[in-house]
Amino acid sequence: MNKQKLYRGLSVVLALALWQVVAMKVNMEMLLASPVQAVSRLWAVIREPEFFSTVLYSFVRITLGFVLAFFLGLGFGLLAGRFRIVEHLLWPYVVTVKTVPVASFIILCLIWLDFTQLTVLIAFLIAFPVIYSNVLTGIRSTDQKMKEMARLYKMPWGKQLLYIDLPSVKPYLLSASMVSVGMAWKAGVAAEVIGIVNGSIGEKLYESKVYFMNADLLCWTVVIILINVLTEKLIVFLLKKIFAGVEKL
Amino acid sequence: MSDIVLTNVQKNYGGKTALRPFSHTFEEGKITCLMGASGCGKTTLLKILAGFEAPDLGTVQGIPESIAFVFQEDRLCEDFSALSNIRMVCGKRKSKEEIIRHLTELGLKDEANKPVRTFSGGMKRRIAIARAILYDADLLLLDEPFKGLDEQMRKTVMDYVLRYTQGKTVLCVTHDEAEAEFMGAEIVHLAGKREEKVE
Repeated sequence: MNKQKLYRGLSVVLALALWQVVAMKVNMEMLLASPVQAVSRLWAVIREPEFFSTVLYSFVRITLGFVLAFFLGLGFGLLAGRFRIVEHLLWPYVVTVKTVPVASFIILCLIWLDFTQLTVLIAFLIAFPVIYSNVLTGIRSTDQKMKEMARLYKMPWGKQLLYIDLPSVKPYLLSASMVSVGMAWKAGVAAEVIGIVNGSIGEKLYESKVYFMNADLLCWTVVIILINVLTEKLIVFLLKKIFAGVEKL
Repeated sequence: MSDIVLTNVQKNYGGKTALRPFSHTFEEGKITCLMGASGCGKTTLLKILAGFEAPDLGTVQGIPESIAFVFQEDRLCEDFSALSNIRMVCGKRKSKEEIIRHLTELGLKDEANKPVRTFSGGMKRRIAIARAILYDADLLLLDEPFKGLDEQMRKTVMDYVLRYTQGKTVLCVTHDEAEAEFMGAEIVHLAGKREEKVE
């Protein structure tokens, strides 16, 4: 274990200890459950029959929204990098999605859509502009000397995309994916809370608020964090594998 | 294909002369070495011939359709293998076996499938040269192609270039007269310094 990991581990232990001390001082589970109470509640929640179906419900919808945002953000980003007109046409939508509060979208979606589609759409709306903007920045940062070389050797657009544009986009896409998957989870669960989506993690959070079950709130928060971290790691792993495959072409 | 005729070609960047008025006829199928002090416009001239830059004054005639260029900075796709870097410009015109044969001639047989980012400067140079040669262009522009190669390798690479450019028009920028002599090239000296102000 290197020193940085050791220090991080120690800070987490310290933060948990501080939380435990504050919870003991407050001494009211309804206001602030202690980490020990949250973990024991988590253990109980995991063993409940609907736990996996609840997690799966939110996971499938948020991941679907993110995957849609990933492919559309990548596709439109590459197109906008190639054709300025695409960038101009998309500009009002991207700016709107970036600036309008997510709560406004959630309420609009609740008016227009079936609540089962809400999570997918909100996760998509939050992740799309991040991925699109980063892909576009990546394309714009492509070494112009490499583009000059490609033109000289009359490389078709597909080859330029594969050999010159994608390697430039790679670091931007990786960081955008890491950031936006977390944002998709936050916004997706927020949408489920506001929409009180049946059978979702958001519904569990809503119930914990209504019934003042602070330990439940914290244990579901831990579940969200864990799934979020795992999803992020999985996505980065898959992307690196795909890029490694492309580089072997 | 025909001779390449430059008439009073001139280029300035931001009020500074990059290439003083230059006229010359580069004969078809001949090797010409461009020499001159740093900043006299040798690279600018190659860029004009490649179509990357337009001359401010003068005319350029007889530029062929297909041009290959060995750039000073190699301009290779670092994440991809030597083989991929060559295939991406040659397409299906060259077989894998032929590319490997060329890389073998340049002492890179075992490196064909390794990513370029792991290579030394000299190895990258040789891949850039192999890429330009295998592209089979009518005009080959070489900007200090042997820089960074040791004496032995320089001879090997010069031999390689000579062998595969028979009958092609080659323009090579160099600071080394011995290189020009070895290649049996016509030597053209460019005059002028970039620092000179344009009126």
